[in-house]
Amino acid sequence: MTAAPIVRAAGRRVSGQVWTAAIIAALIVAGFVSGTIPVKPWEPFLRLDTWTFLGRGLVVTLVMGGVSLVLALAIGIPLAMARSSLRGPIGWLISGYIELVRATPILALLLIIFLGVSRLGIDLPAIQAAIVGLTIYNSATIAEIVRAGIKSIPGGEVEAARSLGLNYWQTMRLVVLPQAIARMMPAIVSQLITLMKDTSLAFILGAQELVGFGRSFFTFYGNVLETYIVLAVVFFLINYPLSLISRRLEAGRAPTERPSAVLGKDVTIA
Amino acid sequence: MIKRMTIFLGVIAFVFAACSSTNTGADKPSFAADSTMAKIQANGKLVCGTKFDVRGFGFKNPTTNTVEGLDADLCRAIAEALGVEPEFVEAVSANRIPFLQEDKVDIVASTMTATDKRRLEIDFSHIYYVAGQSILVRDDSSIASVTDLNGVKVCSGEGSTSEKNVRDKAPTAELVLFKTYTESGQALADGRCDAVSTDDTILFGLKEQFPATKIVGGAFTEEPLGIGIKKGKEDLVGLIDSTLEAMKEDGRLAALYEKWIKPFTGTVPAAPF
Amino acid sequence: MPFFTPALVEHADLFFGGIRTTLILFAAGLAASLVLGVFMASLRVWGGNVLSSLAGAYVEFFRNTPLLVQLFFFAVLLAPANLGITRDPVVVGIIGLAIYTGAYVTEVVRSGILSVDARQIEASRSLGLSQIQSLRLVVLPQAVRTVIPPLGNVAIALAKNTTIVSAIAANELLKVAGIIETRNATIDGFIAALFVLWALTMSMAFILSRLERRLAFAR
Repeated sequence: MTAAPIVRAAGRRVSGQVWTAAIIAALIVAGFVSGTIPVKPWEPFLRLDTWTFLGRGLVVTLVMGGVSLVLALAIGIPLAMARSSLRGPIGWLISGYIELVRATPILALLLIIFLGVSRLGIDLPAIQAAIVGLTIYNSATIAEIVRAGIKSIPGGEVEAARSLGLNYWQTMRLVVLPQAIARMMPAIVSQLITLMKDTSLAFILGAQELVGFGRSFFTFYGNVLETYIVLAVVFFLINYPLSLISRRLEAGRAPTERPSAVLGKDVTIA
Repeated sequence: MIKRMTIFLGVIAFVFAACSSTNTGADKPSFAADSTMAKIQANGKLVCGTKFDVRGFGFKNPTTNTVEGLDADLCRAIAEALGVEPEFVEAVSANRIPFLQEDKVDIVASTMTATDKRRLEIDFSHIYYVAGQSILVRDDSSIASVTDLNGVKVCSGEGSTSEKNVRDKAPTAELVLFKTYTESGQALADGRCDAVSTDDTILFGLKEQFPATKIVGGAFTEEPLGIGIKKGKEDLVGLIDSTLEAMKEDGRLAALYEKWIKPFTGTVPAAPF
Repeated sequence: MPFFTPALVEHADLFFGGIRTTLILFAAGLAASLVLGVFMASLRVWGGNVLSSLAGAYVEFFRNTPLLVQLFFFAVLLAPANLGITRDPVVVGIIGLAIYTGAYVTEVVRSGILSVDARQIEASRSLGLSQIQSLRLVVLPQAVRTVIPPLGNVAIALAKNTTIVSAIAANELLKVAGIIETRNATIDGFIAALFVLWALTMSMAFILSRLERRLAFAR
């Protein structure tokens, strides 16, 4: 078989995307020219101080997302190892914990942490409370992703490593985890997209992140719809490249190595 | 890997220690070592809960990133009396009292009515303004008084005295409760509710923000606004009261009324204490 | 901890109303997102160049932006002063959830359709089945079996996402819990709401795992 049909198919898809971009751009231009889309509410977005202002909120959003991801990995990986190695009550307890957290709506978790911990007399401002909630939630999801990764490593490799004299932790650290994590990267990147979207819920706790700064912004300029569109586009510009990375990573993997194939379910659907 | 981890942990530590800037003012007034004021000075800042979306009282201006309004300026004056910098935290109606009780903020100046029920939970300073609950409707509305609210959609703030007043005075009103008044005003402007009912002080700002609206029905309650302080900090209450008295004395308070209240009501009110 | 605490008893009507609203948001949101998702997926697969890419743009945009921002946007956009479609936050919630969830359904259904080998269609056509017949008798039964597990996960995610509609003042479970919290200074409402939501998501997860096992055998 020659490569020609594949190339042609790819070319056709690109032209479809070009058409889509052209149609959307034409609709926007037509909207502005015909006056269907008023120009005035968009003018504040041409000011530099708009972007330094919204930029402050964006920094908070990115820090919340980044810190929560790192903490969730730091908790989720050991949880996954414990779940796949420990038997008996402790193993059940960990499984139960993971399933319970994954069954919880993230907003309910955030509100209960924010309001509940405060009632215990512990000072936990909204941003920090959101980081705690996002960490708890995502560590459970990441534990599931990593467990699938561990499961996907053939048992023969573990046996070989053990027979070479490595102990359990060495086997995990040197043989299983590096491969498992590489296989799970696409799923972890998709989870990061979900996490970035979920940071917006910190706004409901009163945190001043991107959405909060956006609200202050349209309160001042009175351009509510336009501001929400801009906020959505900012999130899209963060998340779309991530989704492309995830897909690129996924394409390099055999289907049997994907978490959905191993666990029989997709763990990263938002 | 370890090094990267350390960097990340550093970032985390930074976030959790957020905003602990210290101020070393030259001429700090001094207070007894175990007083609330001394603790605030040791922190280097007065954490003040205000609204961020109420024009004239507490409003975050995106062109300057500062909080503006009467409540914000009262915080600044109190911080100045303590010799520290003010730091503003958004305190919406529902979280004002919890914020105080959990020491998330030192004081709350957030258009808060000093009710008897709240006085059981927190302390209040002198009353610095007497507001009254009123009604904001669209220009073309036929709603003219609080009884007209029966059977229509009324937006108000979750956890506010306003919500309770509407339930008492117009029992069949359908309440739509938002966290902030901007959302209520927005919902009124775009037709999701028929009226917004809360303190006139807040309605003045909303009317400014959403021009095709009017305030109707007059004030049907009396809402004395005070600065909230956690119970057990009588020394801080004393300092705030004496600061307010000094401001009344030297005309600073009248100047603030002139700047923030007069544009809405057309008159400079007398200090209510 | 007793489930029916004084604060909950006082607000029983409000709380049960919250359960009802959550269930309405879930059921209507699911139905609408399935319709939208199947339609968009068929555009993706059979819509040709441009329509397929447009449907793809829909999927990418709505999957990569927060539901919260989408709901805030739709609440204002659909209101009487703008498009004048609805002022009811529950209806806005259903529309918002359907559009957001529909993007996920599109991807699931699309991969379900694509999972059926194209040669099977050719084979069934050459056996004398019409295009519609081969879709109905050959593609659909296999595709449905492939999409049920991921669709189940999408439905569970939808059930959890109904809580975000609280932000536009729809009185679903978390919103009524918040109202109870501000009126009575207790988080009882949140705890009770959490139990109801757990019952919803966990029973779905249980049914789904049963279904998956049966589908696995049927293969």
